[in-house]
Amino acid sequence: MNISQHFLIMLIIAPFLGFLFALTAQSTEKTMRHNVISVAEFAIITNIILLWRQMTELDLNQKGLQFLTQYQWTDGPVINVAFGIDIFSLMIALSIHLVLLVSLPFAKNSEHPKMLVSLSLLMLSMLMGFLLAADIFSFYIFFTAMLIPAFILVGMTGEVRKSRWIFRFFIYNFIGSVILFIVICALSNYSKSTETILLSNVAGFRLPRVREYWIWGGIFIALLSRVPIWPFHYWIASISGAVQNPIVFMLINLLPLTGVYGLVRFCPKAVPESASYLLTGLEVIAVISMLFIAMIGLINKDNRYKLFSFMTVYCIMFLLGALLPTNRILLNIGYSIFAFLIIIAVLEVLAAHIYYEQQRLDLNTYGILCQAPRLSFLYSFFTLAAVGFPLSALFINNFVILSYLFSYNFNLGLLITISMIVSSASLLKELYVLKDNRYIQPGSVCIADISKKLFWGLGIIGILLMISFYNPVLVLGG
Amino acid sequence: MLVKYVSLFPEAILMAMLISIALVHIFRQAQTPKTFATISKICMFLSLILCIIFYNIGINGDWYINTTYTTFFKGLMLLGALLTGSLASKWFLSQNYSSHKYYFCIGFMVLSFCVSISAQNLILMAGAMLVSVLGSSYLLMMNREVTEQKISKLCYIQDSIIFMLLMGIGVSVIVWHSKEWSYSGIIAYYKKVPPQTEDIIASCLILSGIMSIIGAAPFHLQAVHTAKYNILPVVVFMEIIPVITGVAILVTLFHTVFVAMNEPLSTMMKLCGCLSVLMGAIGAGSTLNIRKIYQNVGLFNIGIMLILFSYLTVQDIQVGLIYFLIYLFSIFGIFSCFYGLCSHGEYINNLDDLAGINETKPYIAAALLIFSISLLGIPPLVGLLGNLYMTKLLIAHQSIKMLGFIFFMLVVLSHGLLRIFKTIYFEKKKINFDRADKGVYFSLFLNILIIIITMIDPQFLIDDIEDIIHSFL
Repeated sequence: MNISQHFLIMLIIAPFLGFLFALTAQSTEKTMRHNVISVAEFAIITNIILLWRQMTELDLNQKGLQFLTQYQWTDGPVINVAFGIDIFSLMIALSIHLVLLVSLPFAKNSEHPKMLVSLSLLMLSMLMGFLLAADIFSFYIFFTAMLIPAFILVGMTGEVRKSRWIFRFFIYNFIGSVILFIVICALSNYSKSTETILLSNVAGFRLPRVREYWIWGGIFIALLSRVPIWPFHYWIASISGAVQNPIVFMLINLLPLTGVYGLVRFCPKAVPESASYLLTGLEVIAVISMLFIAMIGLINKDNRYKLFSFMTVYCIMFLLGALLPTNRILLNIGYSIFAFLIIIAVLEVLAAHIYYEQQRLDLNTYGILCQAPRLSFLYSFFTLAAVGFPLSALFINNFVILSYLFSYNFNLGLLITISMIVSSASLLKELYVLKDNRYIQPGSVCIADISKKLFWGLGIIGILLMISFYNPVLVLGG
Repeated sequence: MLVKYVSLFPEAILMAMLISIALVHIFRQAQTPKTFATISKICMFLSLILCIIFYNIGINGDWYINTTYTTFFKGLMLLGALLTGSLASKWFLSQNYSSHKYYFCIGFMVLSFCVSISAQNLILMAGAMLVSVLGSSYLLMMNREVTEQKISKLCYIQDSIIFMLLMGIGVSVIVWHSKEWSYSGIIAYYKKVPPQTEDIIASCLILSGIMSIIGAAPFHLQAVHTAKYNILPVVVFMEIIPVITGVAILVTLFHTVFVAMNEPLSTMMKLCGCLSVLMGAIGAGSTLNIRKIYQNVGLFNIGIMLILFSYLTVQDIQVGLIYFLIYLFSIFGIFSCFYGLCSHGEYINNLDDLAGINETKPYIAAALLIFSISLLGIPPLVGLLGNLYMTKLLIAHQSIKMLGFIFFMLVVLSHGLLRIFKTIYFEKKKINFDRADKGVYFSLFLNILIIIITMIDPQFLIDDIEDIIHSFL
């Protein structure tokens, strides 16, 4: 086993150790907040360095997962687990770390900073395990294991704690996990070999037609239970609207991406013919859900809901891109997700700042940015980057994905483009409202601007996005 | 020759424990609750050690035997009794309540259970079980109570006695027909003569007696109801120790003695298993009493074990025992947590009392979460392993409908447990808790360590279970 393979396991262990340290932090109220955030920052930065190290070692021309590491878990029945990494999973992992780093300062405002930070680290550890999983068992373990920290995070920080949404959130996701569990057990029984069942080999299984149909149906339902398309859209919409903390908002909205990532890993472009009907049905449902969510985002006045709607529309676009019968745009999807997650995280952090200030001063949203120049600049920059201005890797990579979608099915491409325009319009409309100075009276109370430290921190991220305009890997030294 | 009788030392020490407790109660004036707890601890520990030392030595005959299989269950039971007894001493100290009845009863029950596990004879096994019911009746009646509680306990005792009598009738019929009372004789008889309808009914009666001890549906109703009224040490003991004995005897009878009748018995076990899964999953979501919630979770898991044991291959027994062990560790962990949740000397009983314990008792709250997740089979905890083997086995048996039913009920059950997580983590603190005993933390730490080690390297568990089954078959 070479050093890069050890680093893969370290990527899962480092945040988990951070979780244990943060959980056992005992001190006064003030120092505890400081301690747990420092622990989290240290764990996240350690992982970013490890990821960067892995990036420099990766061979971009090689297909499939690299640095494959296998362990035998049990030998009767034989169950092996395997981990590996490629540039697609690495880009998503890196963006998740940056997202957490950006939103971490907001843990200080939370009612339970210790639990919030420690559970975020636990979830990060599970997410890393999920992104590095190369076989069906480790994939299932981490796919499901992130549910409990997510459930507690949502319940502790949102207004949802007394509602039934929180139960629905768990139950919908748990049903998906249970279905996936049955499917992997069935696959493991049908596979007579004692070798590891890699995710990429699942599509190559040749089974009787009816079984194939059920197994692929199960995989689709399990993974789509995470993506907010009908009939699974309800939980995440309700939760996203009610979650107040940027860390939790971002972590919960990463769950749909885990569904998309899972579909990419199961390699559905090579699905057997019996299951290909399911793909067509899925495309229809996905595009209808996308349109509806974009429309609701446009008419909804809540900024958080608009962000959620924007995220969902893009997530479904990535999903449909991943389902295309080609591997060529996989890297484009990875680069796009990298920029997309960072942009949304910064927008969410700025929106949270505006929300807290609004609550503190009891102000309405009209023209609220006019007297906070730093906040206004960053908000405008990241909104424009989000809606598709050529300011980040989102621009060119989305263009490539959309062009492939158009060439695959013109009507599908058209509907996706309309949904994206509508959801972008809702963000622009919100920006317009925030900058509309018609209602501002001279001498009226205005919100506090963001600190210079935060401004420069987020500004550097903006610059990083701009210089990684075409290919983030080149900029980051891969 | 002498060494065969030396192998009875564990039982002899338990007998000595009963005599010591009785003598101390009669003659010693200063009887603190700790006195009896200490006697119990020493004797149980010695008994456990000797049980392990003489693990394969027994009076080889038609009456009594020690094998790896019996030692495994006896060891588990003695360890469980030792730990529950140790944790219970705090309760008696805090309540300033005489503990001699409790320790005498658990000693008496453990002794009778040891005899019934090692018995190679239907009459000895049934006799020991019947005697154990006397111990459990005495145990249930040990605290002061109001009329409603008394009636509930009396109903439970009455039910237990009825099931034991039915088991007695079943044993009589089989012994009368086969003219044999030893297990080996009965096996040989049914190899020669195909079982008649009355034999099948008799074996069903015997198994129903065993299932009433385990607390499987539909024989569980009073057991679940009395959990609400009993004192915590009694609930913990009754939830763990009889189940170990019941499983040991059930597997022995079903897979060896009644092997000629296992088709109708398998149907009966599947029915009881499904009913237990159904009642457990629904029951957990429909009560506000935390002990009842976890008792229903236990019922659900017992149902799955019955379903697994009802299949007839060696792998089924192996998977059933792995599932059983995982369940046992988790449920013991849950009840250990209850010992750490005491407010003004009273152990909590209601779901609302758990509100906000993540602030006041963060480690106990975390432990409760870990054990509950393990019971649900959610990764990355060891419950996943039980679910994994169970699912693979049911798929191999083509029991897809059964699998669908179990997982549907698991989702229903998860709703019941989510209410506990919600109360612990999302609600504001309502009551203050007393300082928890160090023993509780030690027990929880040990339990969590076992769960983590088993999850990381489950092979040792699988290998051990394999050895045990080989000795049994």
